[in-house]
Amino acid sequence: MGKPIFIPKVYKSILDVIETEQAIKKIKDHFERGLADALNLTRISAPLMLRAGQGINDDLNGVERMVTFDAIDISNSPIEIVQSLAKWKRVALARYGFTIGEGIYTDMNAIRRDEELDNLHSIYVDQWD
Amino acid sequence: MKQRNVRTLKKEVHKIYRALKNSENYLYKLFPSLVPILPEEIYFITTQELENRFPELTPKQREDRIAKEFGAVFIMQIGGSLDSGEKHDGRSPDYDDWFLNGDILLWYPILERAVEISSMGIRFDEKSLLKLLKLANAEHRMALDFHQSVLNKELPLTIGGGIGQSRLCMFLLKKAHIGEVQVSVWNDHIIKECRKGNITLL
Repeated sequence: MGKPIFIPKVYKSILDVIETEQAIKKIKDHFERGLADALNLTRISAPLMLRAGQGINDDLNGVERMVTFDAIDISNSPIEIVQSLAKWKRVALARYGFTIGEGIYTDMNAIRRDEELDNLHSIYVDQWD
Repeated sequence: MKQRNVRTLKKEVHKIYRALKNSENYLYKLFPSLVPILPEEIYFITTQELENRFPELTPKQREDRIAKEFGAVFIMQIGGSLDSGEKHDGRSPDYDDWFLNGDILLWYPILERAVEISSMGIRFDEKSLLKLLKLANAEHRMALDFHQSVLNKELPLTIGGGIGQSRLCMFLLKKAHIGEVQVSVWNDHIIKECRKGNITLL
Protein backbone atom coordinates (compact mmCIF):
# COMPACT_ATOMS: atom_id res chain seq x y z
CA MET A 1 0.00 0.00 0.00
CA GLY A 2 2.94 2.37 0.55
CA LYS A 3 3.11 5.44 2.74
CA PRO A 4 -0.08 7.25 3.67
CA ILE A 5 -0.70 10.38 1.70
CA PHE A 6 -1.10 13.72 3.38
CA ILE A 7 -4.35 15.55 2.70
CA PRO A 8 -4.35 19.18 3.80
CA LYS A 9 -7.36 19.98 6.01
CA VAL A 10 -8.77 22.52 3.62
CA TYR A 11 -7.33 22.35 0.16
CA LYS A 12 -8.25 24.16 -2.96
CA SER A 13 -5.77 24.48 -5.79
CA ILE A 14 -4.95 28.12 -6.46
CA LEU A 15 -4.96 27.63 -10.24
CA ASP A 16 -7.59 25.63 -12.10
CA VAL A 17 -6.58 22.75 -14.35
CA ILE A 18 -6.08 24.76 -17.55
CA GLU A 19 -4.15 27.49 -15.73
CA THR A 20 -2.08 24.75 -14.11
CA GLU A 21 -1.17 23.28 -17.49
CA GLN A 22 -0.23 26.73 -18.82
CA ALA A 23 1.83 27.48 -15.72
CA ILE A 24 3.67 24.14 -15.90
CA LYS A 25 4.87 25.02 -19.38
CA LYS A 26 5.88 28.54 -18.27
CA ILE A 27 7.83 27.22 -15.29
CA LYS A 28 9.61 24.54 -17.25
CA ASP A 29 10.69 26.91 -20.02
CA HIS A 30 11.71 29.70 -17.67
CA PHE A 31 13.63 27.64 -15.15
CA GLU A 32 15.33 25.51 -17.77
CA ARG A 33 16.66 28.59 -19.54
CA GLY A 34 17.68 30.26 -16.27
CA LEU A 35 19.51 27.18 -15.07
CA ALA A 36 21.31 26.61 -18.37
CA ASP A 37 22.44 30.26 -18.49
CA ALA A 38 23.56 30.36 -14.85
CA LEU A 39 25.59 27.16 -15.07
CA ASN A 40 26.69 27.44 -18.70
CA LEU A 41 24.97 24.23 -19.74
CA THR A 42 24.11 22.85 -23.17
CA ARG A 43 21.06 20.66 -23.53
CA ILE A 44 21.86 17.27 -24.97
CA SER A 45 19.56 14.43 -26.02
CA ALA A 46 18.85 12.00 -23.24
CA PRO A 47 18.23 8.29 -23.57
CA LEU A 48 14.95 6.82 -22.39
CA MET A 49 16.46 3.33 -22.42
CA LEU A 50 19.86 1.74 -22.25
CA ARG A 51 21.35 -1.61 -23.12
CA ALA A 52 21.37 -3.65 -19.91
CA GLY A 53 24.47 -4.83 -18.11
CA GLN A 54 26.82 -1.96 -18.82
CA GLY A 55 26.70 -0.37 -15.38
CA ILE A 56 25.63 2.95 -16.90
CA ASN A 57 22.06 2.99 -15.65
CA ASP A 58 21.64 4.34 -12.13
CA ASP A 59 21.28 1.47 -9.64
CA LEU A 60 19.77 3.88 -7.08
CA ASN A 61 20.21 1.94 -3.82
CA GLY A 62 20.99 -1.28 -5.62
CA VAL A 63 17.79 -3.07 -4.64
CA GLU A 64 15.19 -1.39 -6.84
CA ARG A 65 13.97 -3.41 -9.83
CA MET A 66 14.43 -1.75 -13.18
CA VAL A 67 11.89 -1.90 -15.99
CA THR A 68 13.42 -4.31 -18.48
CA PHE A 69 12.22 -5.54 -21.84
CA ASP A 70 13.52 -7.00 -25.08
CA ALA A 71 13.09 -5.82 -28.64
CA ILE A 72 12.35 -8.03 -31.61
CA ASP A 73 15.39 -6.90 -33.59
CA ILE A 74 17.84 -6.62 -30.70
CA SER A 75 18.32 -10.23 -29.85
CA ASN A 76 21.40 -10.38 -27.68
CA SER A 77 20.66 -7.87 -24.95
CA PRO A 78 17.82 -6.87 -22.69
CA ILE A 79 16.96 -3.17 -22.57
CA GLU A 80 16.43 -1.09 -19.42
CA ILE A 81 14.39 2.07 -18.90
CA VAL A 82 16.66 4.66 -17.29
CA GLN A 83 16.34 5.38 -13.55
CA SER A 84 18.57 8.46 -13.71
CA LEU A 85 21.42 9.64 -15.89
CA ALA A 86 23.95 10.29 -13.11
CA LYS A 87 26.58 8.02 -14.60
CA TRP A 88 25.52 8.33 -18.22
CA LYS A 89 26.11 12.11 -18.15
CA ARG A 90 29.69 11.76 -17.04
CA VAL A 91 30.39 9.42 -19.93
CA ALA A 92 28.59 11.82 -22.28
CA LEU A 93 30.68 14.75 -21.03
CA ALA A 94 33.80 12.90 -22.07
CA ARG A 95 32.31 11.80 -25.39
CA TYR A 96 31.17 15.27 -26.42
CA GLY A 97 34.54 16.76 -25.53
CA PHE A 98 33.37 19.52 -23.20
CA THR A 99 36.03 21.44 -21.31
CA ILE A 100 36.30 22.98 -17.82
CA GLY A 101 33.45 25.33 -16.98
CA GLU A 102 31.12 23.91 -19.62
CA GLY A 103 28.43 21.43 -18.92
CA ILE A 104 25.40 19.56 -20.12
CA TYR A 105 21.86 19.00 -18.98
CA THR A 106 19.12 16.70 -20.12
CA ASP A 107 15.37 16.65 -19.98
CA MET A 108 15.15 13.21 -18.46
CA ASN A 109 12.20 10.87 -18.11
CA ALA A 110 12.58 7.81 -15.94
CA ILE A 111 10.43 5.07 -14.47
CA ARG A 112 11.13 3.87 -10.96
CA ARG A 113 8.79 0.95 -10.43
CA ASP A 114 9.79 0.34 -6.82
CA GLU A 115 9.21 3.92 -5.69
CA GLU A 116 7.03 4.19 -2.59
CA LEU A 117 4.20 6.49 -3.60
CA ASP A 118 3.19 9.53 -1.58
CA ASN A 119 2.49 13.23 -2.18
CA LEU A 120 5.99 13.78 -3.58
CA HIS A 121 6.79 10.42 -5.15
CA SER A 122 5.55 9.03 -8.45
CA ILE A 123 6.81 6.06 -10.46
CA TYR A 124 7.23 8.55 -13.31
CA VAL A 125 10.23 10.80 -12.69
CA ASP A 126 10.94 13.87 -14.80
CA GLN A 127 14.13 15.65 -14.03
CA TRP A 128 16.59 18.13 -15.42
CA ASP A 129 19.47 15.80 -14.94
CA MET B 1 41.30 19.47 -9.65
CA LYS B 2 41.75 22.50 -7.41
CA GLN B 3 38.03 23.10 -7.68
CA ARG B 4 37.09 19.85 -5.92
CA ASN B 5 36.10 21.55 -2.69
CA VAL B 6 33.15 22.75 -0.69
CA ARG B 7 33.53 26.30 -1.99
CA THR B 8 32.80 25.17 -5.54
CA LEU B 9 29.85 23.13 -4.33
CA LYS B 10 28.34 26.10 -2.48
CA LYS B 11 28.94 28.41 -5.41
CA GLU B 12 26.96 26.15 -7.73
CA VAL B 13 24.18 25.78 -5.16
CA HIS B 14 23.90 29.57 -4.93
CA LYS B 15 23.49 29.78 -8.72
CA ILE B 16 20.79 27.12 -8.75
CA TYR B 17 19.01 28.79 -5.87
CA ARG B 18 19.09 32.10 -7.70
CA ALA B 19 17.46 30.42 -10.71
CA LEU B 20 14.75 29.01 -8.43
CA LYS B 21 14.08 32.45 -6.95
CA ASN B 22 13.94 34.02 -10.41
CA SER B 23 11.36 31.49 -11.59
CA GLU B 24 9.31 32.00 -8.44
CA ASN B 25 9.23 35.77 -9.09
CA TYR B 26 8.50 35.31 -12.78
CA LEU B 27 5.50 33.14 -11.96
CA TYR B 28 4.25 35.67 -9.40
CA LYS B 29 4.08 38.27 -12.15
CA LEU B 30 2.00 35.94 -14.33
CA PHE B 31 -0.20 34.68 -11.51
CA PRO B 32 -0.34 37.22 -8.63
CA SER B 33 -2.14 34.68 -6.44
CA LEU B 34 1.07 32.62 -6.29
CA VAL B 35 2.84 34.66 -3.63
CA PRO B 36 6.59 33.93 -3.31
CA ILE B 37 7.80 32.22 -0.12
CA LEU B 38 11.47 31.50 -0.78
CA PRO B 39 13.88 33.35 1.53
CA GLU B 40 16.56 35.63 0.11
CA GLU B 41 19.40 33.19 0.75
CA ILE B 42 19.85 29.45 1.14
CA TYR B 43 21.39 28.16 4.38
CA PHE B 44 24.20 25.58 4.45
CA ILE B 45 24.65 22.87 7.07
CA THR B 46 26.32 19.46 7.20
CA THR B 47 24.56 16.29 8.32
CA GLN B 48 26.96 16.10 11.28
CA GLU B 49 26.14 19.65 12.37
CA LEU B 50 22.47 18.71 12.10
CA GLU B 51 22.96 15.65 14.27
CA ASN B 52 24.87 17.68 16.86
CA ARG B 53 22.13 20.24 16.92
CA PHE B 54 19.18 17.85 17.09
CA PRO B 55 20.50 14.53 18.44
CA GLU B 56 17.05 13.53 19.68
CA LEU B 57 15.41 13.78 16.24
CA THR B 58 15.47 11.33 13.35
CA PRO B 59 17.29 12.48 10.19
CA LYS B 60 13.97 13.16 8.47
CA GLN B 61 12.74 15.23 11.44
CA ARG B 62 16.02 17.15 11.44
CA GLU B 63 15.52 18.02 7.80
CA ASP B 64 12.00 19.26 8.46
CA ARG B 65 13.14 21.25 11.49
CA ILE B 66 16.02 23.03 9.78
CA ALA B 67 14.03 23.63 6.59
CA LYS B 68 11.23 25.16 8.61
CA GLU B 69 13.69 27.41 10.41
CA PHE B 70 15.48 28.72 7.32
CA GLY B 71 13.03 28.15 4.46
CA ALA B 72 15.73 26.86 2.12
CA VAL B 73 18.69 24.72 3.13
CA PHE B 74 21.47 22.77 1.50
CA ILE B 75 22.26 19.71 3.59
CA MET B 76 25.83 18.62 2.94
CA GLN B 77 27.77 15.38 3.29
CA ILE B 78 25.15 12.68 2.85
CA GLY B 79 25.92 8.96 2.71
CA GLY B 80 28.55 8.25 5.34
CA SER B 81 28.15 7.38 9.03
CA LEU B 82 27.75 10.19 11.55
CA ASP B 83 29.43 10.33 14.99
CA SER B 84 26.47 8.44 16.43
CA GLY B 85 27.16 5.58 14.04
CA GLU B 86 23.91 6.25 12.20
CA LYS B 87 23.66 7.39 8.59
CA HIS B 88 21.74 10.53 7.76
CA ASP B 89 20.51 8.83 4.59
CA GLY B 90 21.69 6.22 2.13
CA ARG B 91 23.46 7.42 -1.00
CA SER B 92 24.58 5.43 -3.98
CA PRO B 93 28.35 4.88 -3.94
CA ASP B 94 28.27 5.12 -7.71
CA TYR B 95 28.74 8.83 -8.40
CA ASP B 96 28.82 11.32 -5.52
CA ASP B 97 31.75 12.11 -3.33
CA TRP B 98 29.94 11.72 0.01
CA PHE B 99 31.98 14.53 1.51
CA LEU B 100 31.17 16.96 -1.30
CA ASN B 101 27.49 16.34 -1.97
CA GLY B 102 24.13 17.46 -0.68
CA ASP B 103 20.40 18.01 -1.11
CA ILE B 104 18.52 21.27 -1.66
CA LEU B 105 15.50 21.27 0.64
CA LEU B 106 12.71 23.83 0.66
CA TRP B 107 10.19 24.24 3.45
CA TYR B 108 6.76 23.53 2.05
CA PRO B 109 3.94 24.90 4.19
CA ILE B 110 1.18 23.19 2.16
CA LEU B 111 2.41 19.79 3.32
CA GLU B 112 4.17 21.06 6.45
CA ARG B 113 7.39 19.33 5.51
CA ALA B 114 10.65 19.81 3.66
CA VAL B 115 10.64 19.09 -0.06
CA GLU B 116 13.82 17.89 -1.74
CA ILE B 117 14.21 19.77 -5.00
CA SER B 118 17.65 18.55 -5.92
CA SER B 119 20.17 15.92 -4.99
CA MET B 120 23.63 16.76 -6.26
CA GLY B 121 27.32 16.67 -5.67
CA ILE B 122 30.86 16.79 -6.88
CA ARG B 123 31.45 13.43 -8.54
CA PHE B 124 34.15 11.19 -7.19
CA ASP B 125 37.68 11.13 -8.54
CA GLU B 126 39.88 8.06 -8.48
CA LYS B 127 40.94 8.66 -4.87
CA SER B 128 37.54 9.36 -3.36
CA LEU B 129 36.07 6.45 -5.33
CA LEU B 130 38.34 3.99 -3.54
CA LYS B 131 37.55 5.54 -0.17
CA LEU B 132 33.84 5.52 -0.91
CA LEU B 133 33.61 1.91 -2.05
CA LYS B 134 35.40 0.89 1.12
CA LEU B 135 32.97 2.90 3.28
CA ALA B 136 30.02 1.43 1.39
CA ASN B 137 31.43 -2.10 1.55
CA ALA B 138 31.05 -2.20 -2.19
CA GLU B 139 34.62 -2.78 -3.35
CA HIS B 140 33.39 -5.38 -5.83
CA ARG B 141 32.00 -2.51 -7.90
CA MET B 142 35.53 -1.50 -8.73
CA ALA B 143 35.42 -4.08 -11.53
CA LEU B 144 32.59 -2.29 -13.38
CA ASP B 145 33.43 -0.47 -16.60
CA PHE B 146 32.29 2.88 -15.28
CA HIS B 147 34.40 2.63 -12.12
CA GLN B 148 37.40 1.42 -14.10
CA SER B 149 37.08 4.47 -16.35
CA VAL B 150 37.16 6.74 -13.31
CA LEU B 151 40.12 4.89 -11.80
CA ASN B 152 41.97 5.19 -15.10
CA LYS B 153 41.12 8.91 -15.23
CA GLU B 154 39.29 8.52 -18.53
CA LEU B 155 36.26 10.46 -17.34
CA PRO B 156 36.27 14.20 -16.55
CA LEU B 157 36.06 15.56 -13.01
CA THR B 158 32.62 17.00 -12.67
CA ILE B 159 29.72 18.11 -10.55
CA GLY B 160 26.23 16.88 -11.21
CA GLY B 161 22.75 16.33 -9.97
CA GLY B 162 19.11 16.34 -10.83
CA ILE B 163 16.34 18.83 -10.31
CA GLY B 164 12.87 17.37 -10.21
CA GLN B 165 10.63 19.08 -12.76
CA SER B 166 7.36 17.97 -11.23
CA ARG B 167 8.64 18.70 -7.73
CA LEU B 168 9.54 22.23 -8.78
CA CYS B 169 6.16 22.75 -10.47
CA MET B 170 4.37 21.37 -7.45
CA PHE B 171 6.27 23.70 -5.14
CA LEU B 172 5.81 26.83 -7.23
CA LEU B 173 2.14 26.12 -7.93
CA LYS B 174 1.52 25.25 -4.26
CA LYS B 175 -0.04 21.90 -5.07
CA ALA B 176 -0.76 19.18 -2.53
CA HIS B 177 0.15 16.20 -4.71
CA ILE B 178 2.69 15.60 -7.47
CA GLY B 179 -0.09 14.01 -9.55
CA GLU B 180 -1.54 17.50 -9.97
CA VAL B 181 1.40 18.51 -12.17
CA GLN B 182 2.28 15.27 -14.00
CA VAL B 183 0.36 12.36 -15.47
CA SER B 184 1.22 9.05 -13.89
CA VAL B 185 -0.39 5.86 -12.63
CA TRP B 186 -1.69 5.72 -9.05
CA ASN B 187 -3.22 3.05 -6.90
CA ASP B 188 -6.93 3.00 -6.01
CA HIS B 189 -6.26 4.16 -2.46
CA ILE B 190 -4.44 7.32 -3.60
CA ILE B 191 -7.06 8.07 -6.25
CA LYS B 192 -9.82 7.81 -3.66
CA GLU B 193 -8.01 9.87 -1.03
CA CYS B 194 -7.21 12.60 -3.54
CA ARG B 195 -10.82 12.77 -4.67
CA LYS B 196 -11.97 13.12 -1.07
CA GLY B 197 -9.32 15.80 -0.45
CA ASN B 198 -10.31 17.94 -3.44
CA ILE B 199 -7.03 17.10 -5.22
CA THR B 200 -7.30 16.81 -9.01
CA LEU B 201 -4.91 14.23 -10.44
CA LEU B 202 -4.06 14.91 -14.09
